[in-house]
Amino acid sequence: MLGACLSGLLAIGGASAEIVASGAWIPLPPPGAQVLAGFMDLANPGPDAARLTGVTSPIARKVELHAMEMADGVARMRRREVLEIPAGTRVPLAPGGLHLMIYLAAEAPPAGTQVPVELSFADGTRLTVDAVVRARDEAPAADDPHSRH
Amino acid sequence: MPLPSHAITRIAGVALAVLGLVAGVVLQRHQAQSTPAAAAAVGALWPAPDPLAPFELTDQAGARFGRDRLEGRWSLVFFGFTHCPDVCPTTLAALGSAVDKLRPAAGGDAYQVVFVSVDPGRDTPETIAQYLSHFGPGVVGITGSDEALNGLTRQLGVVHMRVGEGEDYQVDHSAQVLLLDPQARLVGVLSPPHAAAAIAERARAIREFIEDRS
Repeated sequence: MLGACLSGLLAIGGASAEIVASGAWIPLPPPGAQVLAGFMDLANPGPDAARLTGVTSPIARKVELHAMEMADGVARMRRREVLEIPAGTRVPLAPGGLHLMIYLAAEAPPAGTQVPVELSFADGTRLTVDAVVRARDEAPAADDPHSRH
Repeated sequence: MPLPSHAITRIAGVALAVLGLVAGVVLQRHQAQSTPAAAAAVGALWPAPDPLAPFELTDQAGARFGRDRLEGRWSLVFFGFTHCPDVCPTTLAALGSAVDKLRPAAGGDAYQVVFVSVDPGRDTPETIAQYLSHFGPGVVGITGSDEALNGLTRQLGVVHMRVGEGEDYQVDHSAQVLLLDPQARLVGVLSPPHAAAAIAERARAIREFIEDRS
């Protein structure tokens, strides 16, 4: 777990947007799945807002940013063209909310794989993050987000 | 109070059956305070609606799945599709785990999980079989033509609609877990987000509540 978390802390950023991506992971999908979710924390410790405008990965024919919205008990997934990360804030991509929608180009990678994900920002900054594929049960909050234990 | 509380309960139950699913069905206070089971039976529908009308879908083995497959056991029913990377696998994992928690006390065949794919354009029985192999035995996956699906979803008040163009369309869908009793009556509506422990606890509480009154 610790290794997985640290591996997500690869910030290969330029001088402008100062985004720090951490804890990137991909839930191991059921067999035959053609889409994967991707989760991570995006922190912006810098003085300026950052705008995430694109995501790519070598395992994907395309990657989109989706927001899961629950309205009157109906789950709806909607694409977000841009994700703004205001200065000094942290935006989580987490189960039940924002996630990367990874449309697989081939078979899903097995558990333990480090999947490179490149994030592009409006100012031209790029950031590559390694997202580890792991079983959903190991994800904090995936099973019991309202745990009282 | 202008109406006796049992009448309000009955009206509320009938309205739900007619209008479809509304999360957080409220139990009458006097019932909620009367037994420990009732106090925890959040989401129970009482009085329970009539048993479902017949419907005909197909399971992941290609066999017919009709109302009879809901009879004689409790069913936790969830609607989704396999091109759903977050809510659907999370919920299926939680349901599988919830049923594992319920089975020791209730017996092996007392509960089943039923996954209804509302995306027959992409989810064939074969696709569903492969997908569900991830969630352990005892999870049944069913689908059918849009018309056949509506034969089940309309009487449960479940919403599903295709959104977007091309191969990468989305399917908006009701995200509640529905609890059906062994007479194929809708007796509980569990609202998201879904966690295994909460599903098991609420399913057990609703079952006690219903059985106390049957």
